Amino acid sequence: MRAYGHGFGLRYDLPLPLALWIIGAACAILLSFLIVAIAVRANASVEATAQRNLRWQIDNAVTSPNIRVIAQFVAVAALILIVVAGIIGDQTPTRNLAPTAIWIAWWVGFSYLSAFVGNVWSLVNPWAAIFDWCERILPKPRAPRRATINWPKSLGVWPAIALFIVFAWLELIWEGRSIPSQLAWLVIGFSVLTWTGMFVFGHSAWLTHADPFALAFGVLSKFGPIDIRIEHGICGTCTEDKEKVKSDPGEASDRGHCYRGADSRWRWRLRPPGVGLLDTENMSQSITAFVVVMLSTVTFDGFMATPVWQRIESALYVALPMLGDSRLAIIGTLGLLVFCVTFIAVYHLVATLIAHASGNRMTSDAASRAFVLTLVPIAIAYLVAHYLSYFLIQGQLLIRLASDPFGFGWNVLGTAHFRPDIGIVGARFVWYTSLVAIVLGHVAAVSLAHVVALRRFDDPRLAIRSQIPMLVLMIAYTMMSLWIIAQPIVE
Amino acid sequence: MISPAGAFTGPGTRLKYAGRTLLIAALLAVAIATAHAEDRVFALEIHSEGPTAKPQVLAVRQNDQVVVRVSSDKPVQVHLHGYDIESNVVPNVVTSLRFTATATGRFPIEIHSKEPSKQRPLAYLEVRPR
Repeated sequence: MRAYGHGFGLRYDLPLPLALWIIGAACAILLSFLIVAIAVRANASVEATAQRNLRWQIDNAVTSPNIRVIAQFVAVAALILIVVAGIIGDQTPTRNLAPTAIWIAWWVGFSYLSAFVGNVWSLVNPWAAIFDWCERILPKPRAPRRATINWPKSLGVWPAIALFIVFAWLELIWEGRSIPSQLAWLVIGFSVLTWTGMFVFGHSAWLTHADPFALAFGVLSKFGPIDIRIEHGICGTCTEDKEKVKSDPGEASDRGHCYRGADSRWRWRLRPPGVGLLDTENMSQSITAFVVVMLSTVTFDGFMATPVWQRIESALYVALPMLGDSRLAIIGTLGLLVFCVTFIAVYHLVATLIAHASGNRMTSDAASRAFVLTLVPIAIAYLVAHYLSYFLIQGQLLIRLASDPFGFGWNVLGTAHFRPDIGIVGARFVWYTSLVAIVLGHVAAVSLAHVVALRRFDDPRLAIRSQIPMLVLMIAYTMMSLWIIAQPIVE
Repeated sequence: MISPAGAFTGPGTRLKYAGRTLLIAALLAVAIATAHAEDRVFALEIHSEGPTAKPQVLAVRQNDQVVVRVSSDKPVQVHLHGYDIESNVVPNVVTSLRFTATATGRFPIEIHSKEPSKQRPLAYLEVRPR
């Protein structure tokens, strides 16, 4: 993230040294081939292990519906506090709760929470909570059932994709992204949009098709070890989506969004990390596109801080004076869009190659849907490499902001004079963590892709052959991640 | 080879001398290896007119004592991020930023001026781990 809000959002990482880059790249490639070699012999046993999702149920105080209500209250209170702080508080980014809470605590925090725990966002989403409470409390209209418009099937999740690209633009390019009041109005605008959408299309339909964050955190949480969902068949109690549930029970319970009257039926299950990414029953073409777009924006975030991008930006800046004062924003926007389109094009090409390599036993469309989730571990690894020190260093601002969220000079908890320790994690720790994360993410991705291939094709050799384009893509994607963290950060 | 000491002392004493020598050698090696933190001095010149030069990289090692001498032809404010050290620089006076580089990382040194345009950092302080 760039430093417009002077000082806010800076990353102080040292570039990964060449030696570690080489070690990381070598490990990733070697392990990839090792996995292929094992997979050739594996066949049925791999299949069986993957099927046996260790489903240990978690039934303790944390999973009780009361805790959930408390968590929702906390989330809603935080939302209100952030908006209020943004509007009435000190507009210096580092003195106001809003920028830190949104970009660090919420965006990075929930990304990590989703990837390494589970879909916690689906439980505490404050907008969904407020909407639901209002629906229960406000008097019912005369008609026995409020008519909602059915979500047009052809729309898929394209609105969510559009909104997510807008969000990425706001995060990376928008000049107001560290200005508290602008953020607050943005949140208000998003709230209005969300509640209107929920009102028109129904709570669940909106969240599963148009809410970019429910989808993004949902995708990340498929990697997580805790599977949070509503039991199949329970959704019949959900009055709102009853019709939908009858025809499409998988989708309704998978996302865990229809929960009216079903609070006691939530199930938390433990599973090996990454196994959730094998569940491709409900992948549609638009959801596939969403995943690819999400990965591309995460990568673009890192790419924007590299000297290569800076040279491109400078060259375009000089070459296009007709664009006027907002040249940089336009160049940035173009860069973001080119990245998205390029990722989609490359992935489509790889899917076509997979279909071809499988002797056309699988269409390229089916291939793209089956394998897209296996790229997620590489993105998660990159999120760790890129954001961990940022989260730990800049996140310390929250300690100070907890005592003085508005920048008025308060000291509610006594921590208002806390000075963040920039040495809390050293460069070596960050290098080694990043390297291990990236290699492990790569290994996970390659392994999962092989499991998917072995499931789809009976012949292990055919499965391996079909995987070669994917292997090349994953190695390229991992190399790109390594390259980005080996670049000196330039603003 | 028979050393002079060995000619006049018994095997037990020879061992004691060897042990002591080894200890001293070891201590010396450790001292050299963990090279003591140095004083590093850098000079930064700010020219308000003229093309924006590529940011310098000031490379130091962790725990070095760093002195950055800044000079400018116009009054500016210089800010070292991370360490959060700010200083006003006036023309014809060399201002020194002194600190111990305790934290590793790559920290931008920026100029605050009246115009809020896109400012490239003046320099980057890179503190490398030992």
